[in-house]
Amino acid sequence: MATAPNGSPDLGKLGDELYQHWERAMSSWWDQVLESPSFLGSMGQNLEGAAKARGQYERAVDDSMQKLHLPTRSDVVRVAKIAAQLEERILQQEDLVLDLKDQLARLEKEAVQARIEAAEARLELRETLGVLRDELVAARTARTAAVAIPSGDAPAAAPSVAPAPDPKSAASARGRKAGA
Amino acid sequence: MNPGAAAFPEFGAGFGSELPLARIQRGMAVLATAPRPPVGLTPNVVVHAQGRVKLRYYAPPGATRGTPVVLVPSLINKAYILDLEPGRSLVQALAERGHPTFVVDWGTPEPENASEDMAATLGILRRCVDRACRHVGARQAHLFGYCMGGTVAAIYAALHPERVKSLTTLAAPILFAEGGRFGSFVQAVDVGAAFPVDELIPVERMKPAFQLLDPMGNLSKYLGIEAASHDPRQLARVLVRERWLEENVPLPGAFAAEFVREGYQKDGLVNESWTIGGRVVRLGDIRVPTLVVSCAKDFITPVAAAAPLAERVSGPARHVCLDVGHIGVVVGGEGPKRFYPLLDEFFRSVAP
Repeated sequence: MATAPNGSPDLGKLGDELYQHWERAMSSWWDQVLESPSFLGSMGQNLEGAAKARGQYERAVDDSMQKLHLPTRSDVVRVAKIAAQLEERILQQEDLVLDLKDQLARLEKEAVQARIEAAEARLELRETLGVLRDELVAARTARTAAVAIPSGDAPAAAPSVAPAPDPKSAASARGRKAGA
Repeated sequence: MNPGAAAFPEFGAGFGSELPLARIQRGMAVLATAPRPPVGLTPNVVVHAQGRVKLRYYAPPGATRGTPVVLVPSLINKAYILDLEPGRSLVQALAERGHPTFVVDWGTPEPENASEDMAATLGILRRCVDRACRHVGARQAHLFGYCMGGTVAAIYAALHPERVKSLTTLAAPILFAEGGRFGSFVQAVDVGAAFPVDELIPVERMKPAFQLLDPMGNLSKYLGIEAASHDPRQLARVLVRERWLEENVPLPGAFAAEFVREGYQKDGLVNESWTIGGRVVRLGDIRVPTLVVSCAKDFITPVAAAAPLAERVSGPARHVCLDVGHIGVVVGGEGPKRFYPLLDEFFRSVAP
């Protein structure tokens, strides 16, 4: 038994012990009750009864309101449902717009990528052309050289063929003469 | 000041005022009179709304980069359960650790929402996940669900994996046959009669079932409240928890009926009999990394009901059991000490 320092019973501690014993006993009692089929059955019936009672009450109120030519709860709910459906449709449109935005962004990215690739291809082509031009010049030079050295070791004299006159410079020369 | 002592100054005088019954009386007085502390204090912005549902964004400090975290609370609770008080707030903890954090705030259903079933709920969630990803420019999100929200998140990850980077469930019922006392309460219920699909299921109809999960706890909690009433900080903590318990929201009848019938009565997730929008929910279709957290002292979702998800998904999965209760895991001391760092570590391991 719990005792105070002076040897007398400590009522506070005794109370605690008593409460704990009672709580344990009640807990095990509750466990038995809550697991018994009869309790579980009645709990289900209670839930069903509560739902039924509420439904009946709602209908009774609706009937009274209708008789008074006032909008009933069902009427208000119906209007609210329409509003919710409209909002859903707007959100569906928003979904579509966002999806389209995604597709556009993807297409734009693909288009930019395609332009970059095309530019790269042109650059590559230009480089190839440059190389080919160099090769062509080299080949011409080599050919010219081959034509100029028919045989022997001594270098041949420069060909005596005069280059064709540039039509532009010839015209300007004519103009100068006429002015004089 | 102890409001309970002020209300009952002479109760138990002469017999020892520390008798448990006197303390319970004082605890009741404290609970009845003490003002409830404010909740949901972490700054946030609403980035998407659909009727009553809002997607709240808790931005991390600094640049917003990385995979967003979308938190799905239970549909019968208010969203602030994930943001109860500074220092014990899951959203604050995640945002401070650099995760762009979003919460699906289910709001309070109105009668026009009564016919929203699981398919409609998943539709709302799909849009929320989509908008969260778009908001931070990410392709996928970490999906986290708590309690009933965890079951919804698991179903979502199985049916719509496109935007899911990882899945985390906390105290979420999956194997309903092990659903404990709550499972036996609804096992024999005529679902059609008890949960009309065109009505909301009011809080008053659900509350007794939750109170009967731990009948004696309803009484002995007052001893805890009385003990906490001597320290304002402790009292605030206890009252925050009470606020959580007091402020439930009604459930859409169609959702409640489907959850009880397909979940608790048919065990539709493990039996692969739950069909949503013409598709069978198969947990094996979840191929993303999955973290399953259960609570050893959970009356609502026992460990045996939550843990099996880890064995049934196809992706890499991990099960962690914390030595706490259903609510304490988020607001108790284990939250900041173990649970928040566990989540942070998991998210970083999936998307460094």
